[in-house]
Amino acid sequence: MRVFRPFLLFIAVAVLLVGAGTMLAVAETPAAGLTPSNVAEPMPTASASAAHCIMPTPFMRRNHMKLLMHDRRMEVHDGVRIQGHNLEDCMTCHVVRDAQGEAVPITDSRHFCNKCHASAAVSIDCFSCHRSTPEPTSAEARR
Amino acid sequence: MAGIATATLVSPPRRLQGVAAVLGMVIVLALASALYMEENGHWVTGMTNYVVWGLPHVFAIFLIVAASGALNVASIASVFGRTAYKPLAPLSGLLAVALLAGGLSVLVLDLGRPDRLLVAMLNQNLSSIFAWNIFLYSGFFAVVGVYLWTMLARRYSRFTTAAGTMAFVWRLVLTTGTGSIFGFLVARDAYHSAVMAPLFIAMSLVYGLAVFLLVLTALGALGGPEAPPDLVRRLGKLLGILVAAQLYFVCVFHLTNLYAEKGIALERYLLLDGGVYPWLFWIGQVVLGGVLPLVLCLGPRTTSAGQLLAAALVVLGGLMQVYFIVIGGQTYPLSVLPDWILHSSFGDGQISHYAPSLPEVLLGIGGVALAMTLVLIGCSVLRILPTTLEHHE
Amino acid sequence: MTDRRTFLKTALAAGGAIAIGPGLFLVAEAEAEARPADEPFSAKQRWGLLIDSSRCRTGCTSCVEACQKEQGWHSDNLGAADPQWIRKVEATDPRSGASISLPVMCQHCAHPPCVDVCPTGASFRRVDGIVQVDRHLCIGCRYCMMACPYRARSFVHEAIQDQRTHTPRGKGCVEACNLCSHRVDTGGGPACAEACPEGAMVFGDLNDPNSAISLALRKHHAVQLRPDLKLDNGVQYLGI
Repeated sequence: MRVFRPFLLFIAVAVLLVGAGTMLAVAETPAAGLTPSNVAEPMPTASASAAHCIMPTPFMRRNHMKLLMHDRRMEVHDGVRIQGHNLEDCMTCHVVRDAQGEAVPITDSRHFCNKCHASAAVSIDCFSCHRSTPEPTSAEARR
Repeated sequence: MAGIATATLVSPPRRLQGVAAVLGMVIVLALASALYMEENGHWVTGMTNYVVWGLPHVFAIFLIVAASGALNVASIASVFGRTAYKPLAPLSGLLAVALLAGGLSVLVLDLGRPDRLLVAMLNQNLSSIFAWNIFLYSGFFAVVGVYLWTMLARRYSRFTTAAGTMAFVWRLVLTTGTGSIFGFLVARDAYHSAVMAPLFIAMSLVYGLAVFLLVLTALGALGGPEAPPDLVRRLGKLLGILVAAQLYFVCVFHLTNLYAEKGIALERYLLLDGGVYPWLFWIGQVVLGGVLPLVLCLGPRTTSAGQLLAAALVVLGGLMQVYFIVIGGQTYPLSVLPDWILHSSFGDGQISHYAPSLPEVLLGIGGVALAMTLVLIGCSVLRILPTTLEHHE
Repeated sequence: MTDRRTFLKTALAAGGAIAIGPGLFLVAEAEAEARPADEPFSAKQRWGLLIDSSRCRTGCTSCVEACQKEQGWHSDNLGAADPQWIRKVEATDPRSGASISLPVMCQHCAHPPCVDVCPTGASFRRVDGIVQVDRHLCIGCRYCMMACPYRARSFVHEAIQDQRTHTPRGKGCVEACNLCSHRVDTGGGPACAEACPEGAMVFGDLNDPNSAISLALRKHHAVQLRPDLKLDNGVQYLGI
């Protein structure tokens, strides 16, 4: 068995690393459980009239990513679209506008999603393909 | 392994540091290239919407195919019972795993979204040959891993034959899978052929054995056992026979196309007037990777130096062969209306062009460097190498 | 429940017709049985496109431009690395000298090779016949591009900004014509068909015997590209 000590050690380290990685991946992201006290809570910006999002704010704060993950499969593959449950609606309601009234994109720190994700160090992949702002209306585009 | 003294590799420190530094640098350059490609997008490479797989795939496929063939020596020992090769079987297994890891790394780093590797692991479309290959490649690591274990842990040595047979069958299936990535492409005449699977198996036997011979020799210079000339000569003979088998499948593939009218234009392009590709075929694959090694390995006066040269030529010719298959086949126009003359803004009816870019070259070579690094680490940490190769006839 | 559905259908059909405008009204009237948005796609339908190449003018690229505008893709001067969801192909028969012009895009096969080879299931065929890429699953391996007989797919070679909201596109994924699924799902048809100045493209439900496309297919002999592959294409051509 002597021969094997380095090998066993190697295996043990590998198992530990893989295990730790999996735990990290599976564990809830910090953003889901805790909102760091020094971060302002994101507030819906556009629809001041709406009392809350499609679900109450505490629920959304914890579960928005699950809704997005679940609904994207349903929408793209099966065609089931639920009003308010797609990213387009999120971006429409939660748009943040700068002083000139232009919607700020995800590359801007003021973007709604960045308010938590920056401090929670959650890197999101949505906007490598999706548009992060509402499309300008034809009147805006002309301006 | 009873009776065979094995040891970890103890190299002259200077030499080992030098080799490790070079390998490490190549790997760092490869990682930087991959990052550069991902950051900018693939337009910085030579790959396009017409030639979608480029030089990284050439290196990856060469390494993956060679990985399965690197197991040759172990199979000869464990499956076919030639005890003379037993001392080399662990190196053979280690090299196989290392080459596969090198090839797969290149493949993954060339993906449009390498960050989504986990997606590929969690979502599998069972009708995809790629998905089968993900299973076959992971299985190969496991099967060869167990096989190595039975060889290194003496008290499990009674399982070596069983594990070796399993690994032997697995690698045949694996290379069938790799060949079928191309062979099952119904739309493309340059690929769609049942011969692709056996051709890839023949290629794997050739490349793998050649790489093994070269690595064994290199390890000899790094403090490993000197390979005795007669052992090299015997493996060289085998290499020659395998090269002949590979040329046979190449002939069958092209003759099948040449016999039917519809294949003649394609063969004319590949073998005669397709720019760089006929050169790669005749000079690279046929002369450097075929005829010369045949003469050097099976000719009337063979030397172990000549056979090592043959192994090097096989690797060079092999890379050219894979380039010819992967890139040459893609540059031939894929016609939506066969027999019509086509023009469009998307290159319909035109021959496509491909020139590899520097990042692609660096990424490809990085895969080779990674494989070699893994071999060095494996040999340094585990008792892979026999203390001597003499007197084990 | 029935009432709600009927109401939704009527409302959406009306909305769709208004949004699309008078140009597509004829087709819309014949085809639009708009599916309620919260119900899954139905295999009762199979969307298809019939293209009359004898009416397609050489040099006219209205369909290509309409597609670019609708789906938000364009050339970035990357040459062969630029995306192209739809292209105009000019074809000449060397024996007779006959020449034709035809738009070529994803053929929406019933047995799509791209779907067969995709390792993750990102390439998929909706039950209503539209073949498209789920970019959430696409890892950018480009095997589908090797498998597609029509070279219908493009790999996004560069970073992209300012996508259309209904057409997410991003670097490192493969993309292709999706028959304007966002319009089809609200009772409309693809932008290319609507834009064709010759009316050479008819969109509709191949499974509905009374749809304009089915009626035309019964009257004329349509062909598929690469019929030897037996892929049962949703896009078919007249005049080839």
